Amino acid sequence: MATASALDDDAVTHAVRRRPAWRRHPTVTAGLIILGLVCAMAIAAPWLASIDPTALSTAKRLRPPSPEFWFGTDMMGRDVWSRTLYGARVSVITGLTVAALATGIGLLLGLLAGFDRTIDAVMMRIMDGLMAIPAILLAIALMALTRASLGNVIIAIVVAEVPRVVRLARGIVLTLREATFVEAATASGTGFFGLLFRHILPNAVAPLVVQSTYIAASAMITEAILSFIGAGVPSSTPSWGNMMAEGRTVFQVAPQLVLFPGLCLSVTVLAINMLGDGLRDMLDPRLARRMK
Amino acid sequence: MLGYVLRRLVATIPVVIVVAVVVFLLARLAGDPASVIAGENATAEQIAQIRNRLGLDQPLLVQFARWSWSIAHGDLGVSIFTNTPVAQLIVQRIGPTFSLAVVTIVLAILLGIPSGVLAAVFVRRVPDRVIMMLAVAGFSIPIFVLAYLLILGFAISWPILPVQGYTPLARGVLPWLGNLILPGLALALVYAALIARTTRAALLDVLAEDYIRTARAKGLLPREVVWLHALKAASVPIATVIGIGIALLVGGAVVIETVFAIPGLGRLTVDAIARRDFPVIQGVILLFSGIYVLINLLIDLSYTWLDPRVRFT
Repeated sequence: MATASALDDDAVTHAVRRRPAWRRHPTVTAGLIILGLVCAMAIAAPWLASIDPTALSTAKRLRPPSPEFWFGTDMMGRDVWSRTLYGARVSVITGLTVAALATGIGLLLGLLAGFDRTIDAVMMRIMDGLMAIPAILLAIALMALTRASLGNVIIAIVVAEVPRVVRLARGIVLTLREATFVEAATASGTGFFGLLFRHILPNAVAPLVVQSTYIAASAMITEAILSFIGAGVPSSTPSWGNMMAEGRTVFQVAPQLVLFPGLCLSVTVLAINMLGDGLRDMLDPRLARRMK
Repeated sequence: MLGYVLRRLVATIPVVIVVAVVVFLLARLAGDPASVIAGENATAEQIAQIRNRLGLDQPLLVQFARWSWSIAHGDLGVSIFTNTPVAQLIVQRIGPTFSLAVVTIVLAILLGIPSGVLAAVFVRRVPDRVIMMLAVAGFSIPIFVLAYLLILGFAISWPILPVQGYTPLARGVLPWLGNLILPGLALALVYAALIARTTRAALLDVLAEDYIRTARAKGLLPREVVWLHALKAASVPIATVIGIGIALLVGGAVVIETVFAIPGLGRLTVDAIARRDFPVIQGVILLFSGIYVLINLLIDLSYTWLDPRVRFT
């Protein structure tokens, strides 16, 4: 009975394998398409936006969506469609930069901790402590110290995200160091750097890439939250969080002012999470089987 | 077992120290408290006098020791803006936040655990797929977006619940709950998604164990096997994720209280940001980090009761 079903599974897997990669991993494909669109929106904002996103027009306040103003206008008469396009820039920049920086710094610190016991003991205590401070509060505190700017928002979120990457990277290094192939490499006289670049890092890439997608998603949400509560990018910059903060006072009469940027943010984050889950299944079959 | 409890207690000490050091350094980076207190027109001498009175001319290590000493005695400093002790401000605002947290945790557990169990029982079938899709959506829709969708749905289009505000429990359970249902739900959905995913994964592991086959073989009803035997054995990761989720809850409360105009600690924090009132922000961070550490310590200790194997390690 058990053997038969195992055979069936194999047959299915075989049929699935023959499909092209983009059909085998539909969630990765869908996630990439949506993200591609969002990035295109962000890059092409100056050409797609018909009206200057900061141009005020007191005569045309709180207009509902129309052919002239696709997403309507806000209470200062600014074009919401243009602002949403420019807002995508802030989110995309935040997501990508934070993911790259947090993963890079986290990997470096994680490697240090994974290879040296003394550093490990000290660093992991520090990381445990940092993780005990809720990430948003830590970012809020850092933002309260500095000026509102996109750069500072990115630094604040990176500081809050790094401990989780360090944990992950350190865990990977510790597991890999016990692996038989690493033992074999050491026994056959591979030096430290050979071990690091040929055996440890290639095996750490997959989980870190998956983790970095989740970091990008969480960074975009954190940026929007910070901007929403007035501790994020300056209010002169159109960002999805800022737009929602400005729209909330008139939510009962013009809910679209909050909902358009809010839904854009949700769809973007959903696409990243789909990409992340898909990549996890694709890159880490062991975990995927457990999670399926 | 005593060894395990002691080890966990000792392991908490460095965490608390690091949190204290980080918050202390943040407070020092926030600028010279003496010049803030002295006001804009103060002379250098007046500032120096205040520095001396506050002990700010002492070495950093001495300052840290003094600061920790007063924190340990419940003195969280004085708000720059209102000139009231931060501890007093926190006590005034803790009620609404605590209520919100209780409603959220109850909703999250009621939604998360049964969904996770359902997904595990129907693994790879329709209920599982639907629940897991909802869980991914729950992770992706930021809580404040969800909050506005809920307001639009249940307070504006179909006005059965208040748009915003807070009623203390003393004025009746129903009005209290009426104000907290929407914010609680908005906060609980992400949390429930996290719990559902963990419950499903943990339960799938347990259901593959030999003793589950034994339980089935001796004729126990499937629901007895799942809800009594398997869920109990899967409770350690579930309890862990509920503890980790507290951090999520705290971050979310700051936003949700702003959306729903709930006069709690989150609202206090947001107002403090606008006023650059750093002592208040510092006090809230210390409080929430302390609660987070304490809850996670209690959960770790509960393993001894949830999982007998822990008692012997």
